[in-house]
Amino acid sequence: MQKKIVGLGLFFLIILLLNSTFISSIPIGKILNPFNGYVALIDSDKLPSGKIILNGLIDTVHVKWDQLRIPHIQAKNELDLYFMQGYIMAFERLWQMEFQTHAAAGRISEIIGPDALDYDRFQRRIGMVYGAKKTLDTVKKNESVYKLLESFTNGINFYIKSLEDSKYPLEYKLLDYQPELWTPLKTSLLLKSMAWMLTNRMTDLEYTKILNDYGIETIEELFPIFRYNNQPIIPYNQKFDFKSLEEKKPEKIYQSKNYKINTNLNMNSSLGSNNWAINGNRTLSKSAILANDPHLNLSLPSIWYLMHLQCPTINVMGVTIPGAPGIIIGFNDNIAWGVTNGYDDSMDWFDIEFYNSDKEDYKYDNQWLTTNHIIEKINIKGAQAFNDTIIYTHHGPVVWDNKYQNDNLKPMKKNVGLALRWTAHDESNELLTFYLLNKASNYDQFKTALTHYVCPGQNFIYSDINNNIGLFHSGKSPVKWNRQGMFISDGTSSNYNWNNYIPFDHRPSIFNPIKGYLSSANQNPTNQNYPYYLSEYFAPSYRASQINIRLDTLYQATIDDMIDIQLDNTSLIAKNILPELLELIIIMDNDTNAIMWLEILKQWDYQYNSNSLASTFFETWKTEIEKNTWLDDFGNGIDKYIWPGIDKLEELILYDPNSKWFDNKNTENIETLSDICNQSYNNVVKKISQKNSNENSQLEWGNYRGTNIIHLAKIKQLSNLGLNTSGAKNIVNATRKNEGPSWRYIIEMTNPYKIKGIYPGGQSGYPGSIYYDNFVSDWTDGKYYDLIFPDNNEFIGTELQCIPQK
Amino acid sequence: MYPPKIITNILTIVLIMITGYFSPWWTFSIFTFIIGFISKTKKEAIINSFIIGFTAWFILLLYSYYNGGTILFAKMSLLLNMKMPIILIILSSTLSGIIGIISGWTGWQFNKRG
Repeated sequence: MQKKIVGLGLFFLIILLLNSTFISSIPIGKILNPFNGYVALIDSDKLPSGKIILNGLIDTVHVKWDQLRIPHIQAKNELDLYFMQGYIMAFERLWQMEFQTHAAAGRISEIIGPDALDYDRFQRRIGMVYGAKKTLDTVKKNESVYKLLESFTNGINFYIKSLEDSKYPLEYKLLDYQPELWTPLKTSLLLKSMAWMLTNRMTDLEYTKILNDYGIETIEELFPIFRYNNQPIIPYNQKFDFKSLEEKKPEKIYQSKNYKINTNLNMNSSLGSNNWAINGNRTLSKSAILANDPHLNLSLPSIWYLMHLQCPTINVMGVTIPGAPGIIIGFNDNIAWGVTNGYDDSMDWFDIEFYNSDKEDYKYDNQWLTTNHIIEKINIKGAQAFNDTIIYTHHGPVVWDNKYQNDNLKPMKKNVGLALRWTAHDESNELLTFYLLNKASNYDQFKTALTHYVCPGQNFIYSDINNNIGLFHSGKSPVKWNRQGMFISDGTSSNYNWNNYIPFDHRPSIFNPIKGYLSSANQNPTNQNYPYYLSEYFAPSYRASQINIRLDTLYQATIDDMIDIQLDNTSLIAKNILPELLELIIIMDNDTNAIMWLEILKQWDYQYNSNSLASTFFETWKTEIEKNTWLDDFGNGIDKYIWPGIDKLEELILYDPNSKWFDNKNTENIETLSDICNQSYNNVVKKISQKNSNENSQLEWGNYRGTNIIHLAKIKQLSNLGLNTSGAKNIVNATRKNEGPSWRYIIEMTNPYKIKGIYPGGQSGYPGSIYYDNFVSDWTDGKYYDLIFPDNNEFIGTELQCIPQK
Repeated sequence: MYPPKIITNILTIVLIMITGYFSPWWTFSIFTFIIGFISKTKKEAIINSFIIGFTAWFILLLYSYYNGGTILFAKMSLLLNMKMPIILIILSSTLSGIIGIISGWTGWQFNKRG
């Protein structure tokens, strides 16, 4: 009897353990079994074909997949088109769609447990759900767009409901949870998460540290509003003949001293992009060409998904974010468009002074206003739920206070807090923008679509079949006095409020410029003639300059020329400063390594090619010079301030080699550029020579730096690591270690269009599919695919016919 | 003529393969429990239960691997710190065999002879 009990007990215990995550991070029995574990997914990338009945359709819809696995959806009305888009997206990318919305909403603890609690609290406290709900409320006011969003949602949910448990995507099995039904709020959350990725800005806190310790003069010297060598998007000669709105600047800028800011938070978005358009006077075909490559965090499954949507009122193709209806970057029968990040400062931080530690009231213009307390319940896998009280002021939610402290902002007193004002919290309807863009047929309709666009502000570039080109610096930006919101603002004073917004017609834009082309690469869109202050945090103009240098000399441009520019690895930084630096090098003791590297650098063509040794040396040397210039003044580690940009260093190297910033405060001597240059050079020679002794190919740029495309849940085995790539930051081919051109696309608006495109991923989100990352090696090699934009889907491919249920 | 024991084992494996697709993953252990229960000796119960558990999973895993599963198996084996898919297949099947042993032994205990 005893043995029976022991046997049964042991048996049930083992089944229980293997069915749970108690002994391992994954439920081993559930996953390894060949019936409904991971093996059940083997056919899950098989495209559906033949006829299926879909409850929710109004009419028959056809879907054809081309050789790149791009779905071409043909519907007879818009509701069916969006329904089918949702269905197909869910088929390919369900886990990604949901995981991204969970991350945006601060719900990762539900999936991975207490480790994610801090992250989730942050997401709740920055008001992601708050902003997403506001946007959704605005969308609901436009009945036709909301109906389309509902139809899109229904399509996703039809797919989810049709999915057997055993067919849940791999990540659900690994993380042991189930998909939930989609809602319109999830789509709104996705857009907010994109807004955060492109506009998050903690520089206010970091600049405040410099302001407090060095004063405004240093800020103005090292962080100018118009950067050295700024090449504005809008040509210098454009007049802004409107009466601008103004805000009154306080006599003295507020200096927040409520808490010690220990370090730079390293949380600033520095994602960039390139786009340009050329009119037919400068192209061989006499038709306009548009090119765009948004540089984002590289991830698997890819952030983008390629689709073609067609019905009697819409015919649009391009990339979209899985979970968002319509096309985000693409083209239709008449126009093409692309985006780069606008970089306006749409996020300010405000010091809040509470009446007492209850935080019921806060000070504002010598009166006490009432706060709004909202309790956020965070469910945690394997632990008790956590309730976080989030305090809302008229500025926005209080992100940091004594109940939720950032390690770098300690200690915070009980009666203070730091609130976030962000345009993504305001009412907006970006879905309407993309819906109208997808249908636009001329520049006026393109602009009308952008009137609904709030955040993240983008440089929308435009071209059409009638040879017009244009660019609109879109988004909602408050009217600010110079440098307003660059530092932590005074939340107790109306001087720092956002009272008015730059009128739509006052935003920087350009249509059919005389020179025949236009471009943007995240630089300041204007020069000093523009009457509004937008930001101090634009990208240096290196990419913009190189693009313009190339376009300026092109008079019979072709698509191949555009490819060549998108893959341009020229470093203007190296071109500008290397000759100057090499002049300063003094070789001591006939050091053979030092001589060898000098020769390599002298012969270098400034190309950051994957096989370049000089790129590796120069990049390391440049970093060392930066360190030796700024470290003594602006610290390192816990004492680090934000460092000035590389363009500021270039300016000092070229025009002020005896600048005080080159002097090392920690020595008795007074150092100049020459000292810093030689000291850094020798350090790098030593460092590189040690590695050189092992294997030379390890020093080639592509191997030395490499590029990683990381799985969204940071699962290494589902990532694609160590890609041998060319390019770098501040180079047109802005491929970096974890970021880069997330979508390269070029369209020539001939009849029919010639379209090239590629992204570093694959159409399928299923890691067991060849289509999960089949574009990656071609993307690494700088290859492009021809995209088909057929009138009647005239190609052979898998075909699916979806019939409504009668 | 095959001995009846082998036929029983083969039939059990087939039954496990069929029922596994519409029942919880551990259902196969009910079959190995029965095999243990009807076995004549403890040794026979343990060996047959292991063979059935191991073979059922091994055949299905191997078949899946060669029918569209190469990429998935390669990634899963890396994920579980196993260098090659064949190791993943053998270890998974061994796990099934061990579960078979436990349930088979328990089944044998429930037999009068136990």
